[in-house]
Amino acid sequence: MARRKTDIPFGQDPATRLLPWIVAVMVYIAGLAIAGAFVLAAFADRWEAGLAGALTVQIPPPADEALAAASRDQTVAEVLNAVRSTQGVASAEALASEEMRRLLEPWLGKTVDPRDLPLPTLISVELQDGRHAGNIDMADMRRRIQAHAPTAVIDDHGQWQARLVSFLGALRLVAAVLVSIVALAGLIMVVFGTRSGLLAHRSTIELLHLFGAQDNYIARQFQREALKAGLKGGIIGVAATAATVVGLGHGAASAGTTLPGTAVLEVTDWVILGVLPLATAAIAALAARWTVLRALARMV
Amino acid sequence: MIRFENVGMRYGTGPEVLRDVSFELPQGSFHFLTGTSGAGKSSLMRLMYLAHRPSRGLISIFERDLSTIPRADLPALRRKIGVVFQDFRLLNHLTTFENVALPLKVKGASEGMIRKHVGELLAWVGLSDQMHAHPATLSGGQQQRAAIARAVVTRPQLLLADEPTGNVDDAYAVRLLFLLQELHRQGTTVVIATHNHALIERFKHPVLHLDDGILMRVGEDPIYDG
Ligand SMILES: Nc1ncnc2c1ncn2[C@@H]1O[C@H](COP(=O)(O)OP(=O)(O)O)[C@@H](O)[C@H]1O
Ligand SMILES: [Mg+2]
Repeated sequence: MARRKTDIPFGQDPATRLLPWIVAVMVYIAGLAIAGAFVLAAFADRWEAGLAGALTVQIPPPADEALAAASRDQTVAEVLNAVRSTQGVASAEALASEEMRRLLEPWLGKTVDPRDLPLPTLISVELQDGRHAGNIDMADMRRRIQAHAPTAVIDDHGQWQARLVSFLGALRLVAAVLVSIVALAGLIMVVFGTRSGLLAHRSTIELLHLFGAQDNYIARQFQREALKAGLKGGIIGVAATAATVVGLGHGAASAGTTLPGTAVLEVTDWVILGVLPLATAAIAALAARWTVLRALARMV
Repeated sequence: MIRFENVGMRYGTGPEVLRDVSFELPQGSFHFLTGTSGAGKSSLMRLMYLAHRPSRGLISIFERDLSTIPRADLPALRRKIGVVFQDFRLLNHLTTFENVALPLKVKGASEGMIRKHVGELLAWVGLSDQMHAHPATLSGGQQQRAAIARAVVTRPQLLLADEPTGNVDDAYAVRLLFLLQELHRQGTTVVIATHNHALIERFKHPVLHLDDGILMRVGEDPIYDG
């Protein structure tokens, strides 16, 4: 296949020959960050799905034994009302003494009535679909409950998991910031590469102008060059990313780690990675065009 | 076609290399531009082929005042001007054919049009057998003819040649002049910078003489062909 000759001898300057490789390294880093974000998202989704949609509220027995059972029932009723009126709660039920007895039977035998024991009252709280300790207002619920039972304790089962999920969210933000920084650095590289190309080919550009070339004609050549560099670098970078991801996936699988699947990435994730070289090429071309048109406008 | 009124020119913040230059070239004229080395011939040419703006004075070209022409209109004017540069300025990564084709390509001419015109012109300057050669492998005279072919491939209304006979022998210079006269006969306005007095004597075209940036003498009795 014959290489189409450009009026401007781009192939001769080292900056132009190096550009695809610089782009490749940047796309590789960005690609890894994106792939990492996808993996984290998969983890977060799985953990989030596993989060209990339920809580338990414990109301400790009053220190004063003499306190009437009636007053205790009153407190429980108030707490139940408070919990039920909290956003995201589907239902809340106090564990009936029947049930309590059944749970304690293996240890206490049939003769003891749990209501005679200084046991905490347990309230089982069901949350609405999709809600868990990580995404409802726990502080609000605690405030409402403790208004009636200051010593009540909320056991939110998997709140540490919820914290993990939000930590993964933060990591994904870091990945996004990293991608933005790499993209910005790449953009600056293209702009400076184009500027050095303009300088290196100054006399050829002047010649083309003297033949009556429009700025657009000259910009198109730089644009095409940047497009090629972006596409080449993008494909190499994404191929390296894919190889790394697949390699890590196999490594994790053979180490018996329970990564979410050995494929690690989903089809849509791969499609997004596949679009990366095209996006890189388009952005590089636009950056080059903008740089050239701006510079040429200042020429005679 | 071209009118200069009290034109001054400087490079950057340097001294004026052209001072108070005034002259007028009618359409279809043929002029020599003479002067010692460093007198400002190439600089005057640069003003005429719109590579440089004057630092003062008035230039009008193709009946348009240069100072009021927007940048976007320059390409259209430049396409009416053919230039043979003193140092040829052929592109070494392109073949002779591609070099000569460049001004047509810039204009957006079709492949067929380019093949036809470039083929004709290379035959006219006697370079048909060198069309696939790169300029670096051509002799000085061949490069000069390639440069001339490139300058006229778009059939310009104005042809500016900066010392086109600078590095060829006299017999060869005469042959080049006949080539340029042929263009002139077809209606092209021609200006040739040269300090070859034998040529000036022989072809008897009016002379513009530059002396240290000042235009000293304009030939009074133009002898036009045809
Ligand atoms: N690019 C340039 N920058 C600064 N000075 C220049 C440049 N080109 C020419 N000059 C100066 O302008 C003057 C006229 O040069 P030039 O027009 O090339 O004369 P000629 O073509 O008659 O030899 C000279 O003094 C030369 O040094
Ligand atoms: Mg000169």
